Amino acid sequence: MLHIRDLSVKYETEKRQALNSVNIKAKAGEFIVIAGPSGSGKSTLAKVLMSLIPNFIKADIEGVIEYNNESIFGLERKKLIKLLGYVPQYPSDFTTSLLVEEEIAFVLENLAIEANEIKMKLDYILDLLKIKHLKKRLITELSSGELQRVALAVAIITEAPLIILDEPIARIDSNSEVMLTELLRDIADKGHLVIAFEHRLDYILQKADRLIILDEGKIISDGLPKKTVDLLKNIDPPEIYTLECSSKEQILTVNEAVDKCGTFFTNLPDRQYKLNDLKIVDDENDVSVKLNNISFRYNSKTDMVLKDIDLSLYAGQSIGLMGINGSGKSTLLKVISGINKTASGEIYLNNSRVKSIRKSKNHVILVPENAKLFLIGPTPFLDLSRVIKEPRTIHSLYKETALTHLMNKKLYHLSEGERRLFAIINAFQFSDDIILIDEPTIGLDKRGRKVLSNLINRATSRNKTVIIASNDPRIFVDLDRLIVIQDGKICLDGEPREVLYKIENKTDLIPNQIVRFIQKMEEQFQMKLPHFVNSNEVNEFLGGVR
Amino acid sequence: MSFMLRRIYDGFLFKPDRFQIHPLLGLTIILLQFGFLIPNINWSLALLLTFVIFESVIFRNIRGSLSILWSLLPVIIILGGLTFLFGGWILCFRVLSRFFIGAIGFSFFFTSTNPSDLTRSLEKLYISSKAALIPSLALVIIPRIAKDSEDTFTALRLRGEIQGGFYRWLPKTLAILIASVIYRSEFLAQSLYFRGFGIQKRTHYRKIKITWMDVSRLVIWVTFLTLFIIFNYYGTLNFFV
Repeated sequence: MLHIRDLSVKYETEKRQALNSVNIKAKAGEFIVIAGPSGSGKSTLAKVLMSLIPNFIKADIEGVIEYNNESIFGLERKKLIKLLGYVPQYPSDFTTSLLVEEEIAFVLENLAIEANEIKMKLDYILDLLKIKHLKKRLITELSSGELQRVALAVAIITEAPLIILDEPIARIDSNSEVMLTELLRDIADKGHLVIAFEHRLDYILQKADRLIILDEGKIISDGLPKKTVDLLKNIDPPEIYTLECSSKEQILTVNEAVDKCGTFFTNLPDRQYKLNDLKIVDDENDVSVKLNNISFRYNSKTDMVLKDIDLSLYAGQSIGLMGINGSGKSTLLKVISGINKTASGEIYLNNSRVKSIRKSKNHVILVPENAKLFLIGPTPFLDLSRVIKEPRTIHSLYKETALTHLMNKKLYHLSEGERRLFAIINAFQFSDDIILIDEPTIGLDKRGRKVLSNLINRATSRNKTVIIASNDPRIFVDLDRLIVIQDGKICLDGEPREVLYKIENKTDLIPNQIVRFIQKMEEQFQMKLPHFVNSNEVNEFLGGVR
Repeated sequence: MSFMLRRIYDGFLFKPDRFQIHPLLGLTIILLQFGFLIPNINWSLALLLTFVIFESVIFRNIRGSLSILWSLLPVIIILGGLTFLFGGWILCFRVLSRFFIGAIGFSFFFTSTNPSDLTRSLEKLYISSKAALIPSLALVIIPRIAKDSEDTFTALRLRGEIQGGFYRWLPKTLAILIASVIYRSEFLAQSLYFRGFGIQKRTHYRKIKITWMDVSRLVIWVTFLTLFIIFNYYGTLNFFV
């Protein structure tokens, strides 16, 4: 039994408390999701549970954390390791070896487990997480989704009774999201206590036993996901829950929504519903990025990561790149930005051929997945002041996004989501033409997503091109175009509405919940429905008859 | 700068799919090479250079060696030029040959040594786990720092901050490099803590076998030592004066 009593944490550099009288009781076999907006104290709670605070990060702690009536603070290290399994927010930061098998076996070697047993456990865990093919691979060459699974393998291989995961779903594709969620449920069913700190709640809440909501360091609700999801503040609830019929019935799964909301659709009189017009830009003069027959591989001995890509991206367009982990999304962004040199083919930016980053200077900006590597100034304000010399302009820019209270904070003291948001905001000021963002939604709360959406709209209205690679299918519905990459090739390309309705049949991906809902409705009730992509459209459609 | 960092990464990264040398043999040979770099004996440096190049060719690590040499190109040009101008070609040879031997030798050591196996081998020699981990951490962390620095340097470049003379952007890049080292070290310490490193005597899940590669390497370096002893016995060869 885990018992957190009156836990308060205050960082030495901060004025306000990061956690304020937190109380949680949890028992073995439970699967708990802890959600909250950026800066709400989620990561702090994870770090205290892991004893990172106070062992590595200085902070004042009050209160007690006990597991089976024994305080976690001051617990002997061997006991602590056997008790806790941890999947960090950035697994790449926490690796100690170069090879996948070594990384997973390291902890078992340290616990003095016999070689034969280690081999058995290693094979079992690789098989369980479907990562057997990664066994001999270098960690530095894994995609972020693959790395996430390796980190999970490290966390569960010790059979620790308490598993803590910091944003486990943020970096993985929708297919892996479902797989991982089911796996976490299985782990909990085997008697482990699983605590996941997460923003993306679409699937994870279906399998969770409890949802704890944190806000400004306090627990504002704790209970069954169905009962508490309504209290989510500044976090997107599962998409299906935002259907009016679902929220009334407290529905969290697509299947349940089909069963319970089906009658609303079947009782509808025949009516026409006009979906938003497609935004089509195909004037050859407006081409901002043109890729001719692009192929790329990391070295001459590896397979091609991108294969014969032909692509024209237009000025004023927002484009999404979707694909399973390791399909080549991030690589394509790096090729466009000039970081990765192609094995063959030509790249044109604004109709002039580009061979190196030097030539593309100021035309392209790339925000990498690890936002820590993008911001250079000690504070967001100072970072932006490298390009915008007028402090008033910076101030008004941050004021629009309601972030002035954070702009002079040291980057090291910002939460992951806040840092990412600043990186994105600053990036939009750096480039004249093309903005590339890798996984922008990691750690972003509802407000952050809104800021991102506004920035994209403003940039495209100024004829800039915005390209986003993401594993979060919900971000694509508002973009102008969606490209799906599979095995290094473009598999689907078109308006997001069209593409999202094709991906389940043509790729290994799963679309967002609303698309799945409509597809299942059509299948179950043999009816033809407009291709809605978000809950607003569905609610509007149903609103006319209820 | 970016190409230098990329090449350091390529030249120092362990290549599991190619070949692996017994870590203790690798460590012994690299220490041996170091030992022979200390005295100012021209023929010894020339012999050593010949052997490291030969080894690099037969074990197919030319690419890795060239990567490191390319990354050191500005240093080689500046240092070579200065030593040639102020000390003549013998001094130039002495300085540059040490650079080449170091680059080629280290590249071979890094690319052919599994860091975890190195720790295991040292532990077998009754060296404490903490001391045994230090050299292997270097093998893990150096390519990563190079990669971090390259990514950050690229971000700086795309932001248009790498402009003008190198004196403008070099301090910035070095600051990033130092930040990366601190950042990586901090997380590494946390990671070792949570993986239970150092709490007790470790077990080893893999046995390190001696392969024909190890034997061939041993033959090469025994030959080198024999030649060195012979040359030394018969007096310094009339080579480079």
